[in-house]
This record gives sequence, structure tokens and C-alpha cells, in this order.
Amino acid sequence: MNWMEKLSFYFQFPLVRYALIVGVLIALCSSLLGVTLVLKRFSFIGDGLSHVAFGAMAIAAILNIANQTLLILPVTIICAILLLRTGQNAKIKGDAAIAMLSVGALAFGYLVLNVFPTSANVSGDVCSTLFGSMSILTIRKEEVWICIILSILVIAFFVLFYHRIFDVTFDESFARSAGTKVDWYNLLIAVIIAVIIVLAMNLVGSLLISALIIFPALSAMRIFKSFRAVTICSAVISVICALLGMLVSILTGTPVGSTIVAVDVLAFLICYIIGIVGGRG
Amino acid sequence: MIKYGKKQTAVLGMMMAGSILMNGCGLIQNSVHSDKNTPKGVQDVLDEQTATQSTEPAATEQDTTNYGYGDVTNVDKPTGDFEITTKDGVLDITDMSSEMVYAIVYNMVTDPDQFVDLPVKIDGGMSVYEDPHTKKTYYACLVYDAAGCCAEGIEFVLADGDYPKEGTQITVTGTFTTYNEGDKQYIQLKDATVTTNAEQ
Repeated sequence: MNWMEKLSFYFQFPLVRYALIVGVLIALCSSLLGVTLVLKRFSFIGDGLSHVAFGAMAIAAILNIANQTLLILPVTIICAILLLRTGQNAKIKGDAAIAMLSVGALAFGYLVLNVFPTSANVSGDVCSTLFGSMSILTIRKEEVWICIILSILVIAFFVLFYHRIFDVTFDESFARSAGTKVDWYNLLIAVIIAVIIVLAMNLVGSLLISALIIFPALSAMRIFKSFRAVTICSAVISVICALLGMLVSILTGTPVGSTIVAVDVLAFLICYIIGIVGGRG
Repeated sequence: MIKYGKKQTAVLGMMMAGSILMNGCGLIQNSVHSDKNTPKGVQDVLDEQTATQSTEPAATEQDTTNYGYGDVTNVDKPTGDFEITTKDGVLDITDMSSEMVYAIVYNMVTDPDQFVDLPVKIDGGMSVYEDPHTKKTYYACLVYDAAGCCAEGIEFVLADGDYPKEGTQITVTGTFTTYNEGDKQYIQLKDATVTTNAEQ
């Protein structure tokens, strides 16, 4: 069977179609917010929040909570709010706060899972959660609908509040003086980022989420200058890379998360070269 | 320090509740099949992943067949939402990538309807499990994902012949079916034939 025949054979299975739909939506949403995060110097917040989510997942596992998202999502949202609300007067600055929460939650989560093991293969379970080994291909129909609804909300928020997000991203002080409720928009962005992080853990795992957020934005910035162009380009690159990564992973049997990130890196290199050739770099 | 007004607090609370509710509602099915998206180890594959809670036990036909497991009922269910294209009438997943093999076997475990009565060919590692309570022995073919973190398995019952030793790389061909044991539904390949990779 050549690869085209294989792909058409695979596409008959709903699990493949669900994975592609969810993967594309997650990539799209994370790229939209990624531009804002990169410009606000919060590139690693995805990493930090995903590690917090991992820690929350560990707690939920040992407490034997059937639907772990009920604990993971609120904890992640609260941490996102705490991290993004740190301003100039914060005792612990942004990057230090992220690092503190990130490594602390990761270590705590792994410690808890080892001290109170919930399965016979803790290392395998942890590895799968951290690298998103198979989660995207085992998505159920109900979860696909949830993802679609949440993605529509994220995209709608971004489209409706585009100008406010732009103001808050580039100059908070000016936006505040112009009457924009900066704190409120920062809060909304924090909540949405937390939701996206929890969703994205299914696609690429906890350790690789930052790649989904930062690589498309950085790639787009190599080519375009304006916020709008960068955002649109970032979304296109993210979707293409996610799609390509998943298809390559399915065809060749490589881990899904790592393959998507590898394609993202490749896209960044291509955009970097385009930027140099075009005189942008 | 950020001070939130009553309105802002209410909206924030509604957003959080909405997100949680949407995830909770959508994943209620998961709470019934609580282990579906939780990666499981090898032991758990035989203990839990090959068992699915049957929420709709109604069947079009029932054929009681004793496979030596005591009270076992074969449940023939209507086929699922789609028709699977097979090669020469057999769903051959030996030619697929490791990611797809794992995913399809997982799909067979969680949503077996569309695979019932389908001849299936699978290869993987031989696994033998003896239930400590019932003293019954189960034979399965285990498959791993690309990273080797997760494993899934399908039980099989040979038409005749001896079962290979545990750990042997095998190829199993059999007819996919489901059966009830106690209050749980299980999947297996019945009337199966097995070859070890050394024989191929």
C-alpha cells in the first residue's frame, strides 16, 4: 500500500478524523493567543501552566476523581490568573513566578504519582502525559464537540476583542490611560490560555505545549511586521504544521506530539530563511 | 493589586463554571468509561482495558457459547456508524504504523460495535494472564504505541492448537466478537489462528 492508499484507508476510522479536527482547532487557538504571549514576554507560560496541570492531574488521579478535568481546569485557571496578574509591583516577577510554579508542580506531581501509584506502570503513564503519546488518537466524539465549542468561543473572543487585545499587548499603560479595562482583559486572556493549555495537553503533552504556542508566532514574525498579519500567518502556519505533523505521525508511527513540534521547528527555519532572503531578518 | 467588582467576579465565575460544565458534560461518558483516556500499563490492559462497561446491553441475537469460562454469553451487536473497508475480507492491522495499531485496538476496546464479526489480523506480543480469583487463564496479543509508553491488547481464543509462550512475537487472525462475563463486556478474537514471527 502506498502512502495515499494508506491515508485513505486510515481516514475511514472516525478516530483519525476526530484527531485531525481537534488537532487543527487546538493549533489554531494556541497560535492566536501565542502572538500575544510572545509579545508580552510570557512565552513560557504554556510550559508553566501545563506543568501545573500535570500536578493537578496527579492529585486528581490519587484522589480517584473520575473526570480529572474538573480539578485540572480550575487549578490551571487560578494559576494562570496568578501568573498573568503579576505587574511591576509583584515581589516575584513573571519569569521567576512561571519557573517556580512550573518545576514545583512537575516535581510534586511526579512525586505524588510515585508515592501513591495509581497504576502498575507509573513511568509509562507519566511519559504519555508529558509527551502526549496517544491521547489525540483516542479522543471520543463528545470531547470533539467540547473542543469545537471551546474553540469557537476562543476565536470569537479574539475576533470581537481584537483591538483591545492589541492595545493590551503592546502598551498596557497607554491602554489603561485610554480607559481600557486592562486588568479585565488580562484576566480573560489568562482564563482562555488555561483552557487552551488543558486542551493542548491531549495533542502534544505537557512538555511540548510551549512549542505550539511560540513557534508559529515566531515563524510569522520572521516574515511579517504588522500584528494582524503576524496573527493570521501564525494561525495558518500552526494549522498546517499540526495537520502535517499528525499525518506524518500516523503514516510513519512516530509519536504525535514530537512530530508536530518537529514540523513547527522546520517551519520556523523556513520562515527564518525567507525572512533573511526578503530582507526582514 | 487587582480589585474585581461584583460584576467582573460574577462573569469570571460564570466563565469558569461554563468551562468546567462543558468539559464535565462532554466527558460524562468518560466517567463511565473512566479509564478510556487514561494511559494504562501492561497489567492494566488485561485487567481493565479489555473490559468495557456495557451501557446498552440489548442485542439483536444472543448465542450462548461456553468457551470454558463458565457463564459466558456471546452478544452480537448491530454494526456501528460506518463500514470498515477490509483487504480480502480481513481487517489487517499488521501493515499499519504503531500509532494507528494502538489507536485502532483502543477503538476496538472502547467502541467494539463496528468491529463485531469482522475477521481481524493483528500482531504483537503474546501475553498470558491468570485471574487470581477465578483461576481462569486468558491469552492476549499486546500492541504498544510508538513511544512504548502505552499498551493495548486483544484476547484471543484458538480454534485448535497450543498457545505460544508469553513474550513471543505473534500474528493472530480471528473473528472479532464480544462476550459478557459477569456484569462486564469483553472483546476477543474467536476461532483464531496464531503464528509466531519465527515461523513466518
